[in-house]
Amino acid sequence: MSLLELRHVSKRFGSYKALDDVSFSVEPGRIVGLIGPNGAGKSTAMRAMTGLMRFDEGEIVFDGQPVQFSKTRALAKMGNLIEYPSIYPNFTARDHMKYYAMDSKDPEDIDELMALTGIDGDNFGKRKAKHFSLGMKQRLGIAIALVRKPKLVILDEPMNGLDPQSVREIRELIQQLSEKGIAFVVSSHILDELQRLADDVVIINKGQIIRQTTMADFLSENKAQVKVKTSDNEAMLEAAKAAGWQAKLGEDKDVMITVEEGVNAQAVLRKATAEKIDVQDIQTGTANLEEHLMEVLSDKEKKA
Amino acid sequence: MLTLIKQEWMKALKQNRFYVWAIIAFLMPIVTLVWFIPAETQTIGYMALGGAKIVVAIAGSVIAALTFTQEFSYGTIRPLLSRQYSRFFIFLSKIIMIVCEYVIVLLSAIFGTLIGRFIFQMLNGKNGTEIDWQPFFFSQVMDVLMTLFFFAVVLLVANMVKSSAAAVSLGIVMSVATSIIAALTTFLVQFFEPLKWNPFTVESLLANFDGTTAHNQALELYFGANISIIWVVYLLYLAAIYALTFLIFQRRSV
Repeated sequence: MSLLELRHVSKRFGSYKALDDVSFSVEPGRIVGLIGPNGAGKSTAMRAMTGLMRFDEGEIVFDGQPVQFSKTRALAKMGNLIEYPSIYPNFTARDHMKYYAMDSKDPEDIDELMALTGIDGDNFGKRKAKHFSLGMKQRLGIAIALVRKPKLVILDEPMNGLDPQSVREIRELIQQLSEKGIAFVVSSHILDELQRLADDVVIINKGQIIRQTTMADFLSENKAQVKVKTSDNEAMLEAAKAAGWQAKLGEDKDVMITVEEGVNAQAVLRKATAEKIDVQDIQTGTANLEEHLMEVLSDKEKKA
Repeated sequence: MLTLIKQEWMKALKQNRFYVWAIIAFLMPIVTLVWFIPAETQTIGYMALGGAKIVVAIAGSVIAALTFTQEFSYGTIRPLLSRQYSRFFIFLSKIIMIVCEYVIVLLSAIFGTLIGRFIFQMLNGKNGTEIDWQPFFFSQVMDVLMTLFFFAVVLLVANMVKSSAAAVSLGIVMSVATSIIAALTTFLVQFFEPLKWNPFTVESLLANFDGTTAHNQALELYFGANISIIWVVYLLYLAAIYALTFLIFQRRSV
């Protein structure tokens, strides 16, 4: 049975449909990346999941119990960090941990969790949270989300404001915890990071779920491409198309050719030589979440 | 519920404003009673807690206004509401804590008044420093009861506009301008008599209630109703404003 399930959830703000028949599920111990452009409905979906916003239709079930607006008994085992870390400026990091630990009869060990999330050092100690940097607040927000020993943690842009080292530490922490059975729903604009982190991916756009699949499957749809810069890119594009290859001009006007059986950098070079086109640069790219997301969204737009 | 109250108490203790108001309420009567209020008006000074009554009222209004609006401004309203507790208990725990903080500030003022009286007696002798304890404590209890009305209005505004500044401003205005509002509403009564039952007039006239027969009769004559009915009307207004405030809080998506 899924840990969290959204079934046909819809939400309107006036005539604007923020969520349109949204359905997806989260399995225990999985890290789900919720991705989509700004205003796609990610935060709205997360607010509905955490009982913060009433929705018009559908149902949300977490751990076998319905999640409803303002009736949130089911949420004792859900941690969240929605949009920005919420802190009490006069509390220290430890005060925050003590405060939120009161909600649970069996909370995490505060010292252990503070060490795990890197908020136990001198920078945190007795300093009030109002003096914390955004990155420090972000770490604290993640620690707060974990203090009640949750089965599911919802993190909206958890990497915001973090330096590369911290991003890596937080990623490793999330992966460690997911191995222990904690599920995560993570949204992030840093798609490279999400690509490294998430097991599954849910794509949302204009309030609709476009795809739910595993990250591996999603990336496998995005074939590698040979990017070639020549003395005459238009001629190279024509030659590639004439050979029956999938080719297009990239944003920088270089020719992008999809790698398939018999189509690789060597074949492209041979073709260019045969057509007497000078090759100035050639690169083979790997599957990329951001590029594929753009393609998927663009295909959806065209079909619509 | 106990957890929620403990959490609210923890928040209150970490706020500097709580200590600042308590200290001001404590020191003000000492200063005024010892240095500014002469022996012949000391008794009146005790009833006014050495001028700290207004400080206590403003403190109560500010505390009430900020208790909710700060959760919005800090963004902590989301973690506050995305927990297993019902919104009713979250709301109730906040109201309980507001009243507790107010009572502590009031007790500081009472304690300051007694200390001020003691110092005055040491310096000037006991002449003119008698306290009639029953009316003194009756007056403080009445203050608590009447302040519940301020809290109700301030909380209503705070939850409607989610703005600390608006709610604090209203709280301060309500604390100092009650007599003006009462005078205005009482003036309007002459044009339309049922207006005398408006909540501000009921509150302002009951605020002077001292339990004496003469005062009871004056109130009964003005309202044309038994004193107990006037109290019931006041309590109904309180219940209605708190219920409306809760409904706004309960229905708000964040």
